[in-house]
Amino acid sequence: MIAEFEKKGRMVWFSHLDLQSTMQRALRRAELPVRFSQGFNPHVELAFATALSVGAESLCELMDVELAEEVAPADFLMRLNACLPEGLQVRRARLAQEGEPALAARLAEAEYAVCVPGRDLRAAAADFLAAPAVVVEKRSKKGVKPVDIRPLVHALRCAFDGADSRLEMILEQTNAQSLKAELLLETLCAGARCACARTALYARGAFGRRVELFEAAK
Amino acid sequence: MLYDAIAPLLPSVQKPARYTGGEVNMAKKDPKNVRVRFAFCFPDTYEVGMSHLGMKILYHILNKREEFYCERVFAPWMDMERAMRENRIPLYSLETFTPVKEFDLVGFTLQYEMSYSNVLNMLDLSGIPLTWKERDEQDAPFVVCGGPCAFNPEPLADFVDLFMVGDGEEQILELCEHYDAWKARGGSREEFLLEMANIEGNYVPRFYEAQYDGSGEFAGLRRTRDDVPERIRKRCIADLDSADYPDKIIVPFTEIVHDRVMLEVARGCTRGCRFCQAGMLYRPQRERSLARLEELARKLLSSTGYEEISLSSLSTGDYSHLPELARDLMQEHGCKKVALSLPSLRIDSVLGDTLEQTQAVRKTGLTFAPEAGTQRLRDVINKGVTEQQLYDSVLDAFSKGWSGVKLYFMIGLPTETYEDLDGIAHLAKRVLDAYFAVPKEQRQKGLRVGVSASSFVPKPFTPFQWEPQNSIEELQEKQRYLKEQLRLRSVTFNWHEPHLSFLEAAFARGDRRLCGVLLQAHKRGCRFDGWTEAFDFDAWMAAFADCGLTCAQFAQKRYALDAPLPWDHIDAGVTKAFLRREWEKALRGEVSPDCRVHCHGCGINQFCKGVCKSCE
Repeated sequence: MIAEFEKKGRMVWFSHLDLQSTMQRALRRAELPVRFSQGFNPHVELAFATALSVGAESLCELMDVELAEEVAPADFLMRLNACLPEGLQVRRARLAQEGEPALAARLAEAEYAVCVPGRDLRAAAADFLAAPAVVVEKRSKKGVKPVDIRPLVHALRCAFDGADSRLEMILEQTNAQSLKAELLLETLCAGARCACARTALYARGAFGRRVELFEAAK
Repeated sequence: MLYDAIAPLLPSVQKPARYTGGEVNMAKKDPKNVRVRFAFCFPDTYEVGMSHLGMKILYHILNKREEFYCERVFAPWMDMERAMRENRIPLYSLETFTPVKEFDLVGFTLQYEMSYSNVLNMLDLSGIPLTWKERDEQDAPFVVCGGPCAFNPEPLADFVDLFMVGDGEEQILELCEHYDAWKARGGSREEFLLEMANIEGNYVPRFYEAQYDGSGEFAGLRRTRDDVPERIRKRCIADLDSADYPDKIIVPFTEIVHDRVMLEVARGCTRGCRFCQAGMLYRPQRERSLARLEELARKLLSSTGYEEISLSSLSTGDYSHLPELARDLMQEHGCKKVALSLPSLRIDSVLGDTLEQTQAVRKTGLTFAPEAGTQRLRDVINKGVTEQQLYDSVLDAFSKGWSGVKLYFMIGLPTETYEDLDGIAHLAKRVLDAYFAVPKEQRQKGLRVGVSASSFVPKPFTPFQWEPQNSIEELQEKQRYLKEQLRLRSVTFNWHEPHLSFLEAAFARGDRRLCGVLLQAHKRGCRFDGWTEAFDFDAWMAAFADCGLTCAQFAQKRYALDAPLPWDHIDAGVTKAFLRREWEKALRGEVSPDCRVHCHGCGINQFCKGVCKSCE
């Protein structure tokens, strides 16, 4: 079963690791016919498309739950939502197809909506797009290294209503390489307080077309 | 709402999910529709507090009543505390983000003496005056305390309006009912407290005063009015099986210390280990029935979705129906990959059958607590366990696939000599022998033997309550010696910080003079003393000096057998005469067999019936 869920409100403060156990326990409470892994510490077979930063909202997290028996998606959604807290609710679900590759393997891009209060970022966004390369320091477990993030930004739009800037951005998000929204925001407007929400996850469809990962079975 | 002020602080603190609540099974009520609001405060972090069974039970009992609302409050970690103070955010409840100051009753559970500085710090963070005198003037919430440390309430006497001594299930409801009625009819704070003081199990320190002799030593506690009881009898739930127990518990998002369903199979213990305060305080031993436990397990697993269940009590191995319970639980829930873990297993419990059941699903750690290294000293402390039993048990465990064992010992026990320390090393070697006695192809690889030694702390209501603690230097010397003796392959040695045990000993047996020390320590910034990264020993020593006292005068005090003790006004059920007999037997190295086999006349049968010889 492929399910899309939101993570918002008070639910943004726990980590990806916490999300895994939270979902496993919700699936157990819902008494859905989950499949267990083999081995020493059996756990529910559950795979997420990608992790989300602590503190960030999302409307479009995806997970793949392996079920031992067939359950209708509408039923799955209703039963699981009854066992999930407010702010962590499934929005839609569909059956996984035979031989469908892992969500994480097909994930190509993530889209974010950001509100930066009290700043006009239109010029910063335009400059960024116009630059041939934007090299920033990227922190990873191995340390800090310079990375050109310009090719990782596939779309960047900024609107300003006289008070706040609203940004929409589509960023590279693959197993090999990804750009966190926070890093781009830090580059555009260092130190600004902003509310960031992930709004869509995309796969690459036929002819390199952008398709929603939830829809893309193959 | 307060949440909007808190959210901006969260990205910069560790583990922000500690501070936002909203978990599955959290009690949701409209505060406008309740009559009594109770802030249940745990004076430690979220992860520690959320693991505490007593809180889960009382939270459930209060929230079952529509007119009461019990909400949780934990001590914010130091990074969050700093952020809250900088932004003038008061301590708040996780359910509704209500400042603690707005509650009717603010209750702390006292599990450990070294959390007292957090009690004060949490009141301070709430903007609630620390002492009951100041709270009277400002009509601030009542501060009430319960838990095992309430059995010697004196070091907190200036700060607390009411102590609840003993099992809390009935007491906490009575408290809220009486508060509700008092609030409705209007009256002075003293009237309310006087009414409470006359209900069994309640101690209101303002109605009692401490006496000191010419040299300034504690000379007894006297009531200051004759309409309060002379002695406070602890509360005791006679029938544990019919006592309320949660059928759903909060499932935290973020990992806590004991992240599983906890099934309390029994309360109390019949072993009579002479160092163990819990073993004396929670007498008599009472059990839940097999049917009730199986029903609770079913409900709790289905309401939480937890993948693990633990059977808890002071001595789970002694639970009468343990093999049946383990078997039934595994039969019913094993297919859903639920693991069963059995903590605090005693080495002389019936292991075989039970261990196999546990292993069927998931291996959990194996711990044994011989407590002392030689038979002589184990007889002194009445830990009725022999070297052969330990050997047989670990041999059995190793042959069934376990490869890690933890051994718990105490150093600084009364009458201890270096021979007893040699005995600890000897036992560790015997465990290694047992492992290598199992044929190579039968045993798991990767043998790990963890030996840990904590420092003995004499506690009230134990046969060792009169005994002094070893000095820090003595304890350190013993630790150094043991470290040398335990340089063995596959063995790791852990020890506890003796400075902390030193302080714990002072507060465990101290009197009202420690209120001043605690206040000074709080002013000097002490909090989270149980956490190495926060513990500031020098600040504590300075706090003692501020009050013209020393920590050693309490920790290393030998109370005379006929001297008044600061906790004499509390009646824990076990009589002083019994404790004294046990102390004398200890010095003679004489054991007292299990209370199921032989009655030692501890006095608890005057309170309520339990599983023991005299109650048969």
